[in-house]
Amino acid sequence: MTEPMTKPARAATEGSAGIDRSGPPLLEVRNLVKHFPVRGGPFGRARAQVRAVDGVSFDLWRGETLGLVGESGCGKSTTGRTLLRLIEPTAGEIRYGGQDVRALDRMGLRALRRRAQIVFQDPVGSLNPRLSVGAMLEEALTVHGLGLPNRRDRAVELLERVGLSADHIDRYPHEFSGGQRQRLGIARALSVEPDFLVLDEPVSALDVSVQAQVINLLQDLQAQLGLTYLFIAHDLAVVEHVSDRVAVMYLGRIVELADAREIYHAPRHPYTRALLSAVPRPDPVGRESRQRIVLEGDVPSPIDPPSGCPFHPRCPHPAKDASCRGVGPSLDGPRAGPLVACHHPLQSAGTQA
Amino acid sequence: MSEPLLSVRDLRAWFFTDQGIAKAVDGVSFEVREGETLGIVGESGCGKTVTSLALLGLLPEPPARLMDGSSVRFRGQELVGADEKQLRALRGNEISMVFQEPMSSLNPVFSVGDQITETLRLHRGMDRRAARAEAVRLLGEVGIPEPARRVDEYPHQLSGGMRQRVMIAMAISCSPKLLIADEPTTALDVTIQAQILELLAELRRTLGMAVLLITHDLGVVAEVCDRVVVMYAGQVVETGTVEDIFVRPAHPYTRGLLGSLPSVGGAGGRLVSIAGTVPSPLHWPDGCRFRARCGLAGDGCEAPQDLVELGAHGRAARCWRART
Repeated sequence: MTEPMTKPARAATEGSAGIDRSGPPLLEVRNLVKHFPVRGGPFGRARAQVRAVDGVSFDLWRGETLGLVGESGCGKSTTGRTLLRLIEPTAGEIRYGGQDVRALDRMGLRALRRRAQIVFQDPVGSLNPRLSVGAMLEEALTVHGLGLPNRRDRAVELLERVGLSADHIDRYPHEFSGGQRQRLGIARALSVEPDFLVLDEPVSALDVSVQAQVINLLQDLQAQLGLTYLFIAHDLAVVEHVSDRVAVMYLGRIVELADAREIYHAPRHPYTRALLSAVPRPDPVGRESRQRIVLEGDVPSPIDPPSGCPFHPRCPHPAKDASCRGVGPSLDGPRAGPLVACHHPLQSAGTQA
Repeated sequence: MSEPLLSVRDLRAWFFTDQGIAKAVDGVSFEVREGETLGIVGESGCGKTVTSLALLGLLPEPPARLMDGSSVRFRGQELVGADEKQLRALRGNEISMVFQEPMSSLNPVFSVGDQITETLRLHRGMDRRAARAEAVRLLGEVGIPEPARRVDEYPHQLSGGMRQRVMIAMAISCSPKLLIADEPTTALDVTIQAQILELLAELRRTLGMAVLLITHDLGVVAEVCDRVVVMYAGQVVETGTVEDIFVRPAHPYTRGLLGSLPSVGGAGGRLVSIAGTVPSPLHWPDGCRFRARCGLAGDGCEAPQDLVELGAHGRAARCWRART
């Protein structure tokens, strides 16, 4: 039987004030590492390791949205996939609801994926073109042992929940627009009534007017169903808009983690500050006087990351010194943040320590 | 006011397909003045890229066709109907283009230097040695470190940002009067985008060229453009200065687009989304093409809308309500 999917609602505008962080976190991640071997030579031996995720730790409490933001190659998507073991981690600890995710066997993993689902960026690539919408949603229910006689009703209910209608149930993915396909991806993820969604660039492929529809939908669903989100994206404005807390990644590590408003108004890591200043603002007034930090060069290769602080070769901080090259700064502090991995953190927006 | 550098009048680029006629660009007019940056902004399928390709005769014909009455004048010279030889003389010399994906515009089997020197020898008649020296100078000018070494590298050895710099070096090699940049930073990360936008602004100042920037990114438009053309469903729906568009938007579509944007440091809350989706160019709606998605639609919107002039400097909106 499908139980009514209502849980204590939370207004989308409430921010992190409404999150109860006194209890244990829903998700605990400690020193998560994922290295991909680079193979080559006549015997295909691993010549080097791409250190995609290089020691990531964070906690996520029930009902909140943690934004994971960074530029391409920073390891944010790999982190998301590793959490659900769609990719096997190399090392580290993942606990979901107190359960050790890395120790789960096949049955255990299947049970985990009823509670924790993922929505991908590309709704086209992740939907089977030969299954009608109804068949796709019913399959998801059947796979997870929810193959009840009324599953077609349940499919209709899911479609309506994501802003589609019963008329859509016999159509195929190609008959839908990009925004509608992303709604289908969300409906499929919701079919097993999960508590937690990894949203991996869920709106990046969409036009801005449609992007707003999908963001609003995700916030409504969170309020209605009490969902917990890990929202992975490269678009800082989108991440700030949806997140309670934000973690900024650079070269496989979290460099700063704090309340969303705080991180945007008073970034403490020089990378966060540069990243924010580089975002084009849709406001031409005063653009000449706006302070923009243009970082030099490109992100170094994760095969051979710099010693010490991974950001030191590009860091514009005037206090940069030998310690930045020598020792990697740690991310110690309260679990909920604010945390900053920098030997010389900035005091507040624009001022140096 | 002096004659504009580029003047586009009633441009109609239609595609004749098996499914019917796709009126991708359906009566577009705008001007680019000497030295200014004009942004054409709109969502996918609005016709902005087809417009940019049509300007230089780069649309595949068939299926595409420029319909009668379409006019593109560059410094007084009509380009619609001009022969390939005339267009070729303009392309790369006086007008050049930069595209979104530099990897597909660069030839993977030739070094960066070979590709730039080819342009220089073809368009500027330089000999091999002079062209190579000029290529190194150009790579330095677009901010590529160690240009004398990089000139011998191949496209795959460069990062996305560096490739886009190489494309820009080729584009400015003949000191064009007009640079058409079609989503030049869309494939790049935000810190690299900032570098490229900075470079384009600097080149525009030093070379005095005009830039026609085509993008879906309203933030980029607000940062770099002087004037803006907003497109929807194959038509221009609003034009104005960058302040007009962002501070005093007149068309409901422009207002909806701006409301859809989450902003850094913004208040949060619910975004003002635009209902529904962009219509298909095979079947543009009758009357106002935005009507079905417009919160203000009512009597008067079932008639086709003209661009309503709203004061001086080419400020206009395609909505009868904008008049009041």
